Formats: sequence, structure tokens, C-alpha cells
Amino acid sequence: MTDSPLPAVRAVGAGTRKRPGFWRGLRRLPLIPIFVLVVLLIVPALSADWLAPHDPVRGSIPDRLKPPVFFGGTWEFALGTDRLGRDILSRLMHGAKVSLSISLVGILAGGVLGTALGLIAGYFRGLADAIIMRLVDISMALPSILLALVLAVTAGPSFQTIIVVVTFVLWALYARQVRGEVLSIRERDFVARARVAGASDFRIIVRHILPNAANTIIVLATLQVGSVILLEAGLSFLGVGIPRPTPAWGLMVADGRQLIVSAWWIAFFPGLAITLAVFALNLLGDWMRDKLDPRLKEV
Amino acid sequence: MRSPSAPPALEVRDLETRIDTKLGLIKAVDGVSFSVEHGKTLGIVGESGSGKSITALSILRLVPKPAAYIAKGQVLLDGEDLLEKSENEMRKVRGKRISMILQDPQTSLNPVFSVGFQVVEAIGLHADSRRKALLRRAVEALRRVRVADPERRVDDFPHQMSGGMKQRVVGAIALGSFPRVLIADEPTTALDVTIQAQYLRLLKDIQAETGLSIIFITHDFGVVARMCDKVAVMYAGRVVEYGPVRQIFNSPAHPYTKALLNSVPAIEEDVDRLYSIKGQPPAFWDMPEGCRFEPRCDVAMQRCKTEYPAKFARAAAESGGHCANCWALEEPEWIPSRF
Amino acid sequence: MDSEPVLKLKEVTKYYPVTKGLLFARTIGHVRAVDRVTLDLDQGETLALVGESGCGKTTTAKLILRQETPTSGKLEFEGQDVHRITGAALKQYRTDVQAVFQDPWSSLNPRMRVFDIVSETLVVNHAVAKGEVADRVAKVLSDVGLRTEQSRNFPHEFSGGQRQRIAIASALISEPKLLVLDEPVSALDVSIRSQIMNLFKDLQDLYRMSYLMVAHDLGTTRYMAHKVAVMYLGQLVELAPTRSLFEAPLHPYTQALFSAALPSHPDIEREEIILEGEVPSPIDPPSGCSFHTRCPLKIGEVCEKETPELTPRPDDSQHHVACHLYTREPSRSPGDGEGKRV
Repeated sequence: MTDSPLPAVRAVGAGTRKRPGFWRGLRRLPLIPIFVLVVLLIVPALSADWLAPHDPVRGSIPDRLKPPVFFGGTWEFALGTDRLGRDILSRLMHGAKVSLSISLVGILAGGVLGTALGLIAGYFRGLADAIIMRLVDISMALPSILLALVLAVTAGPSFQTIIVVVTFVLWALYARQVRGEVLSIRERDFVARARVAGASDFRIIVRHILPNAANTIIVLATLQVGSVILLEAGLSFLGVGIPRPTPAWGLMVADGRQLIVSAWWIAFFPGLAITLAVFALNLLGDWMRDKLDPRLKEV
Repeated sequence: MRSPSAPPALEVRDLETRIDTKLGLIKAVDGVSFSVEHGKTLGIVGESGSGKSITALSILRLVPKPAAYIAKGQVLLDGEDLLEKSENEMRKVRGKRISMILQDPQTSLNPVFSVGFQVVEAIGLHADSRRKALLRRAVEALRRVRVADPERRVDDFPHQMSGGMKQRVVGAIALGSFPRVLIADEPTTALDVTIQAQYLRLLKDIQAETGLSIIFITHDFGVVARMCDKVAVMYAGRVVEYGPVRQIFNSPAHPYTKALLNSVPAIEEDVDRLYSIKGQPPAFWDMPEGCRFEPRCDVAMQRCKTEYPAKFARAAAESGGHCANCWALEEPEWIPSRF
Repeated sequence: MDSEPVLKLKEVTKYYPVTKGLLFARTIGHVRAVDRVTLDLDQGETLALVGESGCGKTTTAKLILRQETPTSGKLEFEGQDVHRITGAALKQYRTDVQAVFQDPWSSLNPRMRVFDIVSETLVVNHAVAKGEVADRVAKVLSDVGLRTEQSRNFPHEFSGGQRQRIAIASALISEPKLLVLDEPVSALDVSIRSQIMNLFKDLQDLYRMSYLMVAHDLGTTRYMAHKVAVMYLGQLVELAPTRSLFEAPLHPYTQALFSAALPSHPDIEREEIILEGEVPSPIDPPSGCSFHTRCPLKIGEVCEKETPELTPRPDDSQHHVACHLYTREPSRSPGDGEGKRV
């Protein structure tokens, strides 16, 4: 068989079959992104209070601007210290907590609001749909940074402000996506069947439509953790996010930027953390989409 | 036109197509053989999952890659094995020597181009030809498939046409470069009864005019009765019965064919109770070891459970190559057949 | 027949407005989806609505299922106006009238277990005591040939035929008097169709249900239906007992439709009546008889001007046809020539 267009008959049967489901499933998990996220975000966020070697907020001036351990520093401050002598590693760990909690709370708030409005718009159509979708258009037209600046100036930068901004940015995405999904689900015959049986609108939405839109919502949420971390970092960098001295990754990058030449590690490590976390989250989100989106299923 | 010894227009020999699925490697097409003579129509009948559509795609080497691949066999177009050709050579075969019409005209046409453009593109004329000449070719192609008022319709977009009209345009595209073989994969399933009748009539007329060979893939014995000269009945990836259409209808040999024919309600007569085949087709990853129809078969024997039935051909000379794979045919009128 | 019909449609009409403009939509016309349809359905009887896409058969089914409200006319179920009932009577209607849809891949919620799918009608209408639900589910599952244990599974674990059985079970659970069957076998595999058709027939014998079946396949119609209504452009053109319709179709459209049906044997050669053109737009249907634009047997001006009424044949009072051929002597005015014949 020289140069045959046919693939040579591959090893058939053995090997590809009969692997227990659990191990097959595990093998297909995106292990690297999960590992990165566990090490970078989840473990630090959960354990920062006990495991962080130093106080993230109070530094000691004598220890200021210590370089990381392999660049002339010591193991005491493994990733170096900042201008105020605060341990970068400790601040990164506490920063993970901040990033994770903002993402989770923001996505939850935006997701719930957006999903609810998307369900209403898609299911009832008509006036409700028109109003909600115009609100979505408006909200998507407003630059989030500008909104955050206004909010920060009027209400002052705080955890709550960030949550409000995140919610405001996210809800419209959910509303739009969920609405589209609902529009197709409501045409399926099981919805017609439920109507024939006399099911209430509430029951149809909760039992028939929402569960079938759940995959879309979960995938969207996963994909958004990364962008929320980026948004929070951006806002904090601009000084309208998490107020000092709370350790937030974006804020740490902002703090380090004047000293980027002399003490590069102050900005470098939080920047690296943001990049790795967002990258891993996007990989995970793509995997979830492939896994859960019924349109991509099967051969 | 051609001497009887000339090779058939298309012959498929022992074709095997495998698909790598989540549930393991399956043989979607498992040792399928058939042939179509010049100017004749072969029907491939089967249910969903019988492998009939994958067979069609395999002929054109269009199986979904990389999951599916053709593992063995031959597809002989006028004696040339298509499976030996390079991808580049194949491109000169598809749409030119063998064309295909798919079930849903909705998805076969591109909504953003006019039908004329799509016909011209398919005929393979290059943009440097003069516009007028191109237009004339497109109009001709549309006229061939009896699109009324083709001069005007040529500028229409697909959404301006009805389903039946769109399927005609698909036909015009498929027949645009005068192929010798047309593979029609359930082209009328999405159409209304009267539109279907018109379309089938059209295909027959074109066949009579051009000597086209047609492979008609369908689940509908009515389509077979109207259109086909020969029939291959597929079940679970294999051809279980093969022969001239009247043989199949008058004296079906395989229990599956018999059961299918008895389970379809006729419009010509009242039936008190239809035969119904018990159970459902086997899943590819859970194939019976012996005959694949055995679990649903009324006349199954012990042997059917363990051994796939040999092929038997009807002994009578006038049977036209009628054969079936069933152990119940081990009787004098049937002789074991190698091929 | 002896008893009062279960379902009566009287001059039922459904128009859909056709609107133009995105922001300030204005109505530019109406789609006549269903136009003055009158018919009866008796207990234990199957009536098939046949016709091509857009003929209004599905809209008629939707009107019966209260998914649409009629523009005019009235639907009566056991003497009550279907679109006026409220409260307890409405709950009763929703248990008395159930539906089985075409595509069992779309009609079962993939996120619900079979038990919840099948019992839904009972649950939402609080039709029976909680303790009784499980028994009823078990009973209907066995009625349709499924096992009780299978009620814990999800729809994707079943094949197409089994899924349709689940859909039938869920329609049966409230012990309905009328089942609306919307192309109930056309999405199924050939070897499964007769199973399901026979199941419908057995269930009808068992429970004396009436079926209103929407179908486009004439073989299925002949096998399943006692009575057939042929629709064209929203109107009933012929209504007759199945046998007399299939043996002697009267309306030119019915004749054309039947002649186009595929034969059950290669030796059956039918004289094919090829209709000219396509079905006209229902937005602006032809005047008079809506079939006159394509009719091969058109008599003359009367077909263009007067709408033929559905009238019983003198020799067979069950066989109704709406065609001028049968209501008056063919009178040809000199101007408009002879009827086209193919």
C-alpha cells in the first residue's frame, strides 16, 4: 500500500474499547488548567488566612524591596517584598481570595439577574422582551470602566462597588444568551405538551425551560470567571476597584508599575498570576462548552 | 449504447466504513456490495442507522473525518477504483462524474447567493467567462429541472423559492456538469406528496434523456416501487437482500424484507392489521454475533444466533441475481453464492 | 351515528395578521390558515386531517388544543365551547384532551425522568391523589408496552419508538376522551411505525378514545382513520368515510393528491394528475374555489366567483365534497373556454 489515500487499517478493537467509564472520564478532564486553578486560585483563596507566611497588609520598612529568592533574596520572602515591605507571596494568596470572591459573587448576581430577565424576555416575548432587550443594548453600549469610575467617585471604591459594576456588566450577556436559548427551547414539543396539560407559565419556565438552558448558563459562567478577574484587575489598577490596602492582583500590578525597572517582581508576579488564571479558566470554559453544548455532541 | 459486457456504471465491492465513536469503533458499513447499470436506478432501502447514508458518503469519499474512514473495499466507477484515487483526483470526480442530492434543500443551498450564481459555481465555470454565457448556462440548467420561467428565477435567492423549487435547484446544481451517476439521499422526504411526485417524475425524465444512473437512498418502499430497477435492503450496516425490484416485491426472501413490506400500509387496499416487527434495530456497539436480525426474526433458528448467514442466490435463471443472507434459504431453489 | 359527537367544529376560522415594519408594525393582510371548517368527531372514531404543508391541518389541531384561539366560529367539546371554558371545566378539558406530537426527540423534556414526564398532566391538574400517581404511571407504561422500572430513566436512554411510547403514555395518563395525534408516526423508523400504529388502534379499542390525526401519509391515513377530511388552503374540500374516499375520491384536488401517492408495488401504475404550479399564497388566496387556479377540471367562471360549499352526495350522505362539479350542471359561458384537462 504505497501512497494509498486510505488510512491503513488501524489497530482495531483492542485498546479503544472497554475502558471503565470513570477512568475514561478522568482521562478526558483538562488536567493542566484544573491544576493551575487549584494551585493558583482555589488553595490560596481558601487557605490564605493560615498558610500565608506574612501579614498581607502590614509590612516592615526594613524589609522593603527585597528581591525574590533566586534573584538574591531569601526564602523568608520567596517572591520578594514591595515598597512597604509587604510579602508579595502573602499578598498574592490573599489577592486570590479577593479575585475569587468577586468573581463568584459578581457572576452569581449578574447570572441570576440576567438569567431571570432572559427567561422573561424569551418566554413572554412582546413588550417585556422589547424593554429588556433595549436595556441589554444600552448596558452593552456603556463602557464599564466609565461606569466604575462614576460609581467609585460617587459611592467610593469598595468591594460592593465592584460587585455592582461586575453585575451590571455581566447581566446583559446572560440575558441575551439565555433569551436566545429560550426562544429555541420554547418551540420544542415538550413545551407544547406541557401547555396542553395545562401547566402554568411558571412551571413551564422552571421545570421545562430553565433546566434545558442550564448548560448554556454554566458554560457562560465558566468562561466569565476569567473576564471578571481581568475586569477587577483593570478597575483596581485604575484605582476605582478594591481600595488600598486590601491585596488585589490588579492593585498590586498598579503599585508595582513605577518600580518596574528596579523592582520588577512587584508587578510581575501578580501579572503572571492574572494571566495564568485567566488562561486556565478560558481553557476550562472551552472544555465545558464542548462537553455540555448539545450541539457539539456526538460525531 | 454499450455492450452488455461493459462494466456497470458504478460497482461497490465489499465496502467497509468504520467510525470511531465514544462507545468504541463501529463498522457502520460492513461488507457492502452492489452495482448500478448505465441508465438504471438502484434503491438502497434501510432504516436510520442501517448504514445507507454512510454508504453513499463512502462512495464519494466524503465520510466525516477523522472519526470515520473507509477500511476496505472497492468503489468502481466505470471500472476505476475511486478508493485508490488521490484527494485531488477525487475532486474531479465529485460533482462532475458522480453527483449527490441531499435530503434537505434548505441546507444544501447557500442563502446569501442567488440560485443562478450557485448553479454556475457548481458547473465549474470560471469567473473570466463572459457573464452572458454564464447566465445562459445557468438558465439552461434550471430549465432542465423544469424550473418555470428560468430567465427570471435565475436571479432569485433561495428564500424566495418554495421547498420543491429549491430541491429542483439542488438538482440543477447536481446535474449541471452532466454526471454519469447521481446519488440521491432521501431527496423527497422533506417535500409534500404532490411535489414529491413531480420531483420523482423529473428525475425519471432526466434519466431517460441522459442515461444517468441513479442510486436512490430511501426508507420508503413507495419510492423504491416507483423509481428503482434494483434494490439493496440494508440492515445494521449490511446488505441483507439484493435483487431486481419485482423479485423483491413479489417474492422477498429475507425475513426482514418480508416484514418491512408487510408493515407498510398501502393506500390501495384496506388492511385489517399490519404486521409489526418486534423490538428495534440493534445498536452498533451491541451487535448480535450471528444474524443481526435474529433477535427480531420470527423464523430464527439456533444457527442464526451464532453464525452470520451465508449469501444465497436464487437458482432460477430469470431471477436477475436475486440474493439474500439468511440461513432459512438453505433449500433447493437457492444456491450458496460466493459473491 | 347514535351518540352525540365528542368534538364539533362549527365554521372555525383562524386568520393570522401579516405585519410589516419593525418598530411600528402595521397589518398588511391576513393569512387564512383555517377557513370556515365544520366537522364532527364521534366517540371511538379516528378522523384524519390530510393535506399538504400550509393547508391548515396543524392549525386546526392547535385550535383544538387551545394553543390558538379562533378568529371566528366555535369548537365544542361535549357541548362546551372549548375557548370559553374556565376553572374546573378547563382543568377537566385539559385532562380529557391530550396530544401526541410527531417528533419524540422533541416532545420529551430531556431533563426530566420518564416518571415526571408521564405524570405531568396529573400533577399540574391535581387530578388524582398523590398516592395514586405511581399506580397510574405503572398502568399506562404497561399499556404502551414499557416496564415500570423504566420510569426512573431519562428519555435519551430510549430509542425513537420507545420514546414515542413514553409520549403516548403521558397522553394516556389522564384517561382522555380525545387524543390529537400530530403526524404520530412520520418521524419513526419504518419497522417501528406499524408497532405504534397498532398500539394506537389497540388503545382505541380498549378505551374508546377518539383520535383527531394530522397526517400527510396516505397509507397511514387509510390504515388508521375511519373518516378523512382533506384540506386545501385552509378549507375543507372533501370529508368522507375512509373507504369511500379512497375508493372514489371526488374533489379534483383529492384526486390529484391520491394520484401522486407512491404505489405499494412497482406494477401499480397510476394515472398521474400533475397539478400546475404550486399552492398559492394563503395571504391572498384565490377567489371563489381556492383550487381553481390549479384545477384540471375547472368548469368555468363559477369556479372563480363562487365558493363551493361542502355538501353531501345524494347517493352517500356521509361523503361531502366542496366542488361545483357536483353541485350544478357544467355550464360553460362562451367566453372562458373549456376546462383544462391533463
